[in-house]
Amino acid sequence: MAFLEFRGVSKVYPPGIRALEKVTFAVEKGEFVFLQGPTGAGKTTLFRLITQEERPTEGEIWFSGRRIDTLDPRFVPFLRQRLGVVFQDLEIVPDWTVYEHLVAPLAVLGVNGKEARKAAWAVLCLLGLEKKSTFQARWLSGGEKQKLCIGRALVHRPKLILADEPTGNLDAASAAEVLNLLWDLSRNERVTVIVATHNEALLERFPARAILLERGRIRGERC
Amino acid sequence: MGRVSRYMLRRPGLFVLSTLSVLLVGVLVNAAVFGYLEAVRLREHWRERFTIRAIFREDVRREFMEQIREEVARHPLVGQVVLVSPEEARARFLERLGLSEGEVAGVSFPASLEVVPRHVEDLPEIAAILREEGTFVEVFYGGKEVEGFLRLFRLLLKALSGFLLGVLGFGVFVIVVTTALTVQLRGREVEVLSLVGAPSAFSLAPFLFEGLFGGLLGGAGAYLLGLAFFVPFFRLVGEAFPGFLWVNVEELLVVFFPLDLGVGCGVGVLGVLLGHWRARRRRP
Repeated sequence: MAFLEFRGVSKVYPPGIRALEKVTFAVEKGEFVFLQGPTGAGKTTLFRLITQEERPTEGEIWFSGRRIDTLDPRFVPFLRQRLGVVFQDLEIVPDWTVYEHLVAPLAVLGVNGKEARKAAWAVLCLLGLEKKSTFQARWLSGGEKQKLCIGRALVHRPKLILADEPTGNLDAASAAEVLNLLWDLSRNERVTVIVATHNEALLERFPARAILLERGRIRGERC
Repeated sequence: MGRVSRYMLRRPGLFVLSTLSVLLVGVLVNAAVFGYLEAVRLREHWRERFTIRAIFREDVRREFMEQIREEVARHPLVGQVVLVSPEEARARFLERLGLSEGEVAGVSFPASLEVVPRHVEDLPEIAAILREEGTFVEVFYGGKEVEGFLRLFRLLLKALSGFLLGVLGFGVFVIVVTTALTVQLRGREVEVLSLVGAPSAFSLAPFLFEGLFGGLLGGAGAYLLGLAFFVPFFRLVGEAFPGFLWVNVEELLVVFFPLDLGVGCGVGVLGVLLGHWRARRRRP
């Protein structure tokens, strides 16, 4: 069985807006996949189905050998603890510091203070945010916020990273840097990475599989 | 605790506002409790003063009087019933007026029932029931002054109930406002924690501690304000109206202490739970 699998998944929002329609695909462990499509194609909805912020109208979603679309709401936090998500709208708390954002997923997992500090500091250095660790998120630039969000998705070393338009606020150099980081994680540590993007140019630079999504349907794949 | 204090220090305005709201609810609760205890005390006092006297017809037999007494005693509105025999009525009359037997020779003293209601405001209803009985020549419990007093007492009870309802409404208002503020200002934190996989208890814990702490602080403030107000108040009114049945200040403060802390913690925790629940619902 694949690491992540969608089987005929549809999502209809009231009053009948079809965000996804009969979507079927599978992603293997350690794979790097682009989810490419224009705005409104259903990329974010697909991610929200994986994080269980939404439930599909029909179909099945399997993750790591378990069906998650029917998961008891009590177990959803445990599913999310295994995911690293870079949200399109960043989802940061303006008055939390950079460091607090990075420590939050570790605190949730019960990682002790010393180890959490070490892991957070490593990510800060990796993203070049070490000088801003005590800054409140409100004082960061758009690009720094994006990096922070990426750092939060990596810090607890999840097995699946979902990155929704992770380079949206970054300049070309930073975008390449971030994607290289995700690419290396996938290649070296067998972390499964799915990057949603509407930027076709990105696909040209990375020889990764791409699922093309349009109006909620899979229009094709590039391997 | 580190997380809790960090959150509180970051939003001191919200914390102070919540604590002050709890304090205000506590002060109103104290005022309502004082009013209630005072009313209960006065009711007890007046209850003993106002007795219904129902005079039996002369042809009613002693056994039947006993039977009537038992029936009346079983009525839920009735607190106490005493059957006064003709001999006892005569003895009381003589004692009260300081007369001798000879002076009242030939005067008949009918048997009567003395009925004390459970609550003073039930006097007219019990009297009406006794009048319907048919075994009594006369049923009385005082004149127009008593009627006037009862009207005033009912008015007071209604006003107190209205005030209590107002306090309840204000408490609900405080909870709703504090909750809305919490959701507005803290909802983001709850949402983000939820998105990184925090179970409900994890994201709730610091807010719950904060709610409890704020509630305790507000409740203690209300108690201290009660202490600062009622101790001199009772000293003052005790000197000005020494005969009046004032509530015992120590008794009042003993009631206030657990009540204020309980109400404070209750309001604080309820506000936090509602706010947290709404935030989790907004972003499941």
